[in-house]
Amino acid sequence: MSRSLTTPAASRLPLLAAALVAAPVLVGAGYAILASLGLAGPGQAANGMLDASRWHFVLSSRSTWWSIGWSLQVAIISTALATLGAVVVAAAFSTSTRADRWARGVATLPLPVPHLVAAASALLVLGQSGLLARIGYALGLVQTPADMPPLVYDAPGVGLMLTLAWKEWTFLALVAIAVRGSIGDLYDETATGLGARTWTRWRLVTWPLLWRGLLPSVIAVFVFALGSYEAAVLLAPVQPAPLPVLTMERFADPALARRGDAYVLALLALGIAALAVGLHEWSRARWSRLHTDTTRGASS
Amino acid sequence: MESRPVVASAHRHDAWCIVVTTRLPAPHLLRPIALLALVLFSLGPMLLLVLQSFAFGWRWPTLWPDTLQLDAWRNVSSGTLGRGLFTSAGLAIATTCAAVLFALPIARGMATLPRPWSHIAAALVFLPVAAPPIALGAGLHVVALQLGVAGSWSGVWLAHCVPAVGYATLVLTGVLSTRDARDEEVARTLGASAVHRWRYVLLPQLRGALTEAAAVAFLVSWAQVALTLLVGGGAVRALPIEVLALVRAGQETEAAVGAVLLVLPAMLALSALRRGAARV
Amino acid sequence: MTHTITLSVRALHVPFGHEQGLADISFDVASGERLVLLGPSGEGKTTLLRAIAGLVPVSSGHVLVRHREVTQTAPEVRNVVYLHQVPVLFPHLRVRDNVAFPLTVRGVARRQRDAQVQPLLERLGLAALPDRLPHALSGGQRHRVALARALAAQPAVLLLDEPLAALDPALRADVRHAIEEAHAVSDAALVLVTHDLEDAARLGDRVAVLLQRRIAQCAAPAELFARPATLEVLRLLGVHTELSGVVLAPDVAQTALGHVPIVATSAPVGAAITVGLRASVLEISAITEGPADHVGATGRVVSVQHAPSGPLVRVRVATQELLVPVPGVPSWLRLGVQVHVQLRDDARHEPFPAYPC
Repeated sequence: MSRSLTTPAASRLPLLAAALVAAPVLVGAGYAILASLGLAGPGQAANGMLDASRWHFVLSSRSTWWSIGWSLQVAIISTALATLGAVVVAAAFSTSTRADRWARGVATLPLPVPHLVAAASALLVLGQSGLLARIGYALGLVQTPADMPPLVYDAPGVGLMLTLAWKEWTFLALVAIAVRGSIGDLYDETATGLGARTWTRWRLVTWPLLWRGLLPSVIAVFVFALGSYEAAVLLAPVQPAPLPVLTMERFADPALARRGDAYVLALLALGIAALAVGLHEWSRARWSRLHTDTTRGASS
Repeated sequence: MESRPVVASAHRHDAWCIVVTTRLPAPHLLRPIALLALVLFSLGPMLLLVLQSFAFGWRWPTLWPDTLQLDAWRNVSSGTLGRGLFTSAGLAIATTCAAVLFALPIARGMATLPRPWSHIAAALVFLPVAAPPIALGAGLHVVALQLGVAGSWSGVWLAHCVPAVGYATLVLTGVLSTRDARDEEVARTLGASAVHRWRYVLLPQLRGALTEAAAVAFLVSWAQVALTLLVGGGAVRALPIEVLALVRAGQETEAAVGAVLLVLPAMLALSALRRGAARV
Repeated sequence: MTHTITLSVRALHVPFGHEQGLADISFDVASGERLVLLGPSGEGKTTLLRAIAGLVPVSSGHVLVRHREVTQTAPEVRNVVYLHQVPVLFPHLRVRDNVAFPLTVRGVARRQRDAQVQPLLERLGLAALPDRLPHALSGGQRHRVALARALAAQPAVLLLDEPLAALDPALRADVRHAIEEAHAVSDAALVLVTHDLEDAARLGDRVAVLLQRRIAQCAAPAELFARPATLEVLRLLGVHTELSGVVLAPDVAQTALGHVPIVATSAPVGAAITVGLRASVLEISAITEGPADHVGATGRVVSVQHAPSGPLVRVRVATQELLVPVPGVPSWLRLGVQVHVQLRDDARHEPFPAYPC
């Protein structure tokens, strides 16, 4: 880390700047609190009095927790799938041969594809009259679109899971490749010299390090999957609605009084995100401590 | 990794031990198959969209559209997609400029923070990135109302800047904190002023990182849906909004055109970025 | 120390990047013996060690560990442990688990592992640190953990790649002791690479000098310093002054310092040779009145250097410059002053190495 050239008092300034970056979120959250209590925004009570009824309604309504649970489940599974795929790519195409480098490039090419586009193509592929169904027809497994098991708008949210996994897999693959590269071959070599065979080396040395380096990104991917609106709105079932979709519905609810619900839900989502941010930073700090310090020289 | 014939026997099945534990057929067959699967998996969905964008009628159960034509594409400039493209481009460019301008000094400052302040700062910067856009948008909408910019282009632009600055700062912090800043000390003792140091020492080294930060900020704004919807209130018709509407309306070909328009610039930018990084 | 040969290297040819590789490397190391590979940087010492460990390929030759041919076997089954210059500890494992790693991979049960690891930790002064993570260890501690871990693998051969390079003197002594302590409890054949002469002399039972990608000489330190095999080795050691001379007899040479005994040479009488004199065999004295009856020559003081071992005077004799140590700088000694340089009495009968020009 570079040495500070500033005086102690001024050296806290960057912290302030970072707070400035987070400020809109906090200010927004603040206003959301006000709006959820009927003190601001479209649901503002005419008499300007605090109204906690929306909180009560949302927190006690079963559909809220059903939505949250469903969203969490989809996010967890899609993140797990993406992680698995990323690790496979990083491990399988890890050398510096032309083919491997090309493979890594291809695997990370879909990185800039927006969630919306991924969801749109998912509809084309996974829909009941989509590509998979048509391939099924060609193979004689499916006769009509109705024969195709529904992968979109389905209760378990398989299509959504696959789409999120596809999108996040490329990002995680990129990180996994970078982490694998930064781990380097020294530990592997040392383990070899100490008698460890291929699988043991992976299990005891490479994988634990890869996981610790990957964890911050896995947490980030989880949060992104949880918060994705456009993929959810295109692929998820109507009931239970994923959290972002539910929030949007309430936000645009014709009954103005119920719009306060949207802010409550938004705050719940922000709370989960804040928790994830904390976990993310903790795991990132742990990794940088583990990794950078051991590449220092031998003199202490 | 140079070739290691002596260690080949121990290393050859390295990668595949993780994927399969049973006896493998000839490994030289497995790799091309895996590569093919990778290509289909990564690029297949995109290619399908491209195909759909040229389709006029695509009945069940054919694997190829009934007819291919350019109509949907020709209508871009005159229709909602064209306007959406224009709006999005403007928003994205404006967001990129603001994001990079803010992110650079912030990231530079953050790199000088000692622990544990550096961790707190990193968490703060990550917050707008991690915040679900719908949740963020709900709050920002109220802010926009207070500021009087709700439903306007500037309101949406400001909203886009919130996550964009966060992303750009994260990218730049990564590079700046691992950089050896002693070259700035040297420049100082050689008589270089702050402006000189920025121009001759810092910026040349940061070119790659700045490009990456700009690309990320651009993408954040370009692909943004939730913030545009919530803060723009449906009045600001960015390209993703139009595409979303087309998909929900079931207009598959037009939606596919919009989707390709969404993806293409982003992919081109990314590959240019990579080639630039590789050259450096 | 037993005398069973544990490591045998035979006519090894190792490719070295795009340049010409190591050629015809042969040596044996006995169980419990310490062989130091000495040579300038870039000569391929690290490559040679890695070839013995099996981490780089060889183009021809044989490596035998305990009389078993291992040239084509994988590194993990050679029973050869290679230690990098900077200790490579597994960053996510605590000290205890790092040291126990070789036992873990051999499937040793936990209780037995702990029983085997504890004495190693104690032996190498790590008993207070079993639960530390590597990033919280000092440099010396990291070396010790790496050594303890290597010992846990009970290797037949231990390869240390420049373990003392880039260490400050205090740490150097610490790590040197650690190596000696570690080797004391192991019967492994130890091969140590260094470019530092002090370390070579202190640590090695024998020293193999690697020059121009070949082994130029392999001998005990005393023999090496007394009789370097070639002029290049002599120059590498850097402790000798070269004196040009002419062969008078197979065991005597005529030099600027007079008649000097030399190691029997096959060069014919009258041939020009270079004699290697260690600085410590020379002494200077003030020019006195009266006939000079010692072997010696007159010269002019060019400079006085202050080395860690004491002051050195540089004297110009005829066309050569000789470095002579003095126990202290006498008051009459000044730049430009004429002095008498001669061989010390006690060094006058020991033959010096001589090399044909």
